Amino acid sequence: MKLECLKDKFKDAIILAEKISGRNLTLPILSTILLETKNKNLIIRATNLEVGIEIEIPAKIETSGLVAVNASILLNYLNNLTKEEKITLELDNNNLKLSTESTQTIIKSLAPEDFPIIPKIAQEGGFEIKAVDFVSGLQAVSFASAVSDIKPEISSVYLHNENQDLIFVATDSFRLAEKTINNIPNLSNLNIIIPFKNVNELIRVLTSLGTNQVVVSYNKNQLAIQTDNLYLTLRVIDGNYPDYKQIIPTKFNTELNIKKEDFVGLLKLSTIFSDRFNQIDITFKPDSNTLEVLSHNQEVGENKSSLVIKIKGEPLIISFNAKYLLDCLSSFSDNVINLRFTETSRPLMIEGTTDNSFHYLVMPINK
Amino acid sequence: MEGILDNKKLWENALNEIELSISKANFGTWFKNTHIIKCDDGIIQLAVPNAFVRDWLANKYHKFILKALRDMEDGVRSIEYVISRPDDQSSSNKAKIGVNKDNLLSNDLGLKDLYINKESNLNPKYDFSTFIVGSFNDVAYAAGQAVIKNPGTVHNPLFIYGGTGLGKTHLLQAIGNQIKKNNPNKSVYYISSENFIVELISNIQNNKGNSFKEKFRKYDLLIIDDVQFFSNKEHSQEELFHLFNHYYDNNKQIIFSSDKPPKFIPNLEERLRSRFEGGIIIDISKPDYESRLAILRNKNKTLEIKIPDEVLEYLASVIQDSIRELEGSLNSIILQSQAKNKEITLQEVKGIIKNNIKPQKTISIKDVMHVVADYYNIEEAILYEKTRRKEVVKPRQIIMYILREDFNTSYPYIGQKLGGRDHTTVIHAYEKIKEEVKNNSALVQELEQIRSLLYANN
Repeated sequence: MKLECLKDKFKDAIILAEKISGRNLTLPILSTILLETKNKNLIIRATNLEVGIEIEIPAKIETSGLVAVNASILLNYLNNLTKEEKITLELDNNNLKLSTESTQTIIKSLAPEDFPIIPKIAQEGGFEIKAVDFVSGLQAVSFASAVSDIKPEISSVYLHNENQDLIFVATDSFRLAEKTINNIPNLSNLNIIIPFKNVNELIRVLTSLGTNQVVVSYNKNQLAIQTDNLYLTLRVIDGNYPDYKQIIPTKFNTELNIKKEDFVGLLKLSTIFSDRFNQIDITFKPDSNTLEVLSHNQEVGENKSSLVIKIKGEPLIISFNAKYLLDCLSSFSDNVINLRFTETSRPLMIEGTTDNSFHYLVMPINK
Repeated sequence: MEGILDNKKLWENALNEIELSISKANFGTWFKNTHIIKCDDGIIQLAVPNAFVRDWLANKYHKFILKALRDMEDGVRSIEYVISRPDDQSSSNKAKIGVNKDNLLSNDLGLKDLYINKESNLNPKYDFSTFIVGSFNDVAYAAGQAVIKNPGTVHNPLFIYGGTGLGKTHLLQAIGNQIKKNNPNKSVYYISSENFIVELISNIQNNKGNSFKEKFRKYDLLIIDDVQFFSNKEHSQEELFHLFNHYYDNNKQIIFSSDKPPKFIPNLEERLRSRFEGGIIIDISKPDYESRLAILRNKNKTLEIKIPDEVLEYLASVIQDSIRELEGSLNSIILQSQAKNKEITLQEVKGIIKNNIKPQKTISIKDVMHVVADYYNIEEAILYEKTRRKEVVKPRQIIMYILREDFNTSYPYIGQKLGGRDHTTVIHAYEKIKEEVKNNSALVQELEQIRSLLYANN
C-alpha cells in the first residue's frame, strides 16, 4: 500500500472516525481505524459495534492495501501537524509509515483482517433529507430522552411518520418533546427507535455534513445515512415505543401567551432559590391578570416574582421542576410561546404561537 | 431434540468448543448474548444481538460454528443468523414487556418516583387497602383508626411495637397517608430514626443552628420509625425529647414504632421513656394462620400469576414468624413458576422453600433451665437444691410454668427433673405463675424475654 492525500481532508475524516472507534474494550481492534485503498480513494472505517462509519476521501494511490492503526494515536499525530499540506501513507513491515515534508512517523498496526465488517442495509429505499434538518429534529427533542438504561425503549429518540411528515419524539416519562418536519418525500412505514447514545453520534456526524442531502435507509435493526462519500450505520432498538399520543391532553382550562425571554427570566431567578428538586410553585390569577412564581429553599432563602400578563380561563396553582421548563425553550423558534393547563395534576402543554412544529408536555410535581 | 433445553445445551457445548479455538477477547465480544432460537431439519437459527455480530459470525466464524455444531449434532446442515433482542427469548416475556410499557405512560407519565418525597416522605404504596387486619394486629389497627379520626387528641403518642417484618412500617405509613388524604392541608412527615439522627448530625456539622428544630416542628403529624435506634444516642434523645414536648403541648399527633416496648429499649433516658409510655402502647404480635393465609391470598390477587390455594395454605402453615418472609417466599415461588413457565405443584414448593425456612427447633429441658438461670443470673445447680430462697424459688417456678405451658410436659416428670420434687409442688407453681401473669405486667415482660431468648438461640 502506498498513497498520497491532502492532510486536511484526511484529518477531517479521522476526527469523525476517531470519535466512533471504541474505547476500553476487550478487543483492541475496535480501538483502531481501518485504512483501505479502493480505486482512486482511501476508505476510512471505524466502529464500536453500536455505530459504524465509512468515509471515502480522494487520494493518489500507487499501490493498494489496507492497515489498521490505533485511532487516538493517529488523530493526535494529525492534530499536531501544522504546516503540512500533503501526507504520504505506506506500509513498512506491516506498520503504517506516514511521511510529510518534515516528519517521518511509524505507527504500529494490528491485523486488519480482524477488523469488523460494517453492516450494509440490504434493501434499497428510504428517504432523503437535508442533514441540517435532520439534526434540528434530533436536537429539538433529544434532551427529553431518559438517560438510564433501565427502560431502553424510552432512553431513545423515536422517529416515525404521518404521511409526509417526519416526527421526532423523546420522553423520560416526566416530560415529552415532539418535533415535526413537514414534507419529506418518500416517507413510509417509518418506525425506528434510536438509542440515546447513538443519537449523539448521529448528531455529530450529521452536523459535519451541513446542508448536504443525505439518504436515510432503515430496517428493524439498523439505521443508515449515506452521502456520496460517507456511510454511517447505527443500531436501533427493535421494540415498540409507548403510545404517547394518548397522554396528550385535549381539554384545557387555563391558557396564556408569554414572551420567551420573560419566562426564562422568571424561571432562572426562581431556580436560584428552589430546592434540590428545582421545585417552583406558579400561581395564575386570571382576575388580576397576574402570574406569581414562588420558590424556597430551606438553606438558601426564598423568592417570589410576579408578572402582569393576560390569562384566560380559571385560576390555578401548580408546581413544576423548573429545569424541565427551561430545557425546552431553546427548541422553540417563536419569541412568544403558548402555555395551556388542565389542572394541578395534569400535564402542561407548551407550543409556539406561530410555528406549530414543536410540542412539549411536562408533568407537574405532585404535592 | 427440539426442546428449548436441548438447544441451550447444544449451544453451550458448541460454545465450549469454539472458545478453545479463538482468543478470549474475540470470544467475549462476538459470542456474548447469542443463543439458538430453533433447530428445524438441520437448519439452526442463531440469535445475535446486532448486525455487526451477524455479519462477523457469518463471514469469519461460520466454519468454526458449523463444525462445532456438527460435532455435537450430526444433522446440522446450515445456520441462519437472526438479530434479536436478548430478552426476547420467550413470547410470554415479550407480552409482559408490552404491558409494562403501556402502564408506563398511561399512569400520568409515571410521576411516582418523584412523589415519595420531601413533603411527607411517605410512600404511597402503603395504604389500608393492602393492610390485612387479623387478631394479631386488630388493636393496633383500631388505635390507628382512632388517631386518623382525632389526630393529636385520643392516643398521643401512639407507640406501636412488634418484631421485624410484621407490618409496623406499613401501618405507620398507612396512617400518615390516610390522614393526608382526609385532610390535605395537614402536613405529615415520616422519618426513620436513623435518618433523624443523620440529619441531626449533619445539622451540627454544618453549623446550621436552628434549621433542624424548625424543620421538624412545622408538621402537624410526625411519624418516627424504629425508635429503638435512639438507644445510646444521647444528644439525639435530647433533641427528640424537646421535639416531643413541642408536639405534645400543641396537641399535635406523634407516632412511634419500635421492635420492643419502651421499657426494654436499653440506654434510653428515663424522661423520654416515660413520654413514650404516656399515650398508648400497642404491640403487633405474630399473625395467626388465618391472617397469614389472608395476606398471601391478598398478595396473590394483585399478581398476574396465580398460585394454587393448597400452596398458599402450605406456605401459611410453615412460615410463621414474619410477613416479610411470607411475601418473600411467595415471590420466589412466583419467580420459579415463571422460569419454568408452568403452574407449580405443592411438591416443588416444598423443595423450593426447604432452604428458606428455619428448621423446627428442638429445645430440651436442659435448655429451658439454662436460659432461665442465665436470665436471673443464678447458678443452674442451685435450682436442683432444696433451698427456698426467694431468688431461687421464682426462677424455678418459671421453669415449671414454661415446661408445662409451652411443652406440655407432665407434672411428675417436671418435678423429677428439678431435683425430685413432688408433682403437687409443680402444680402449685404452675397455677401460681398462671394467676400472676394475669395482673403482673412485669412478669409478662420477663416471660416474653425469656421465651424470645429460648426460641431465638437454638
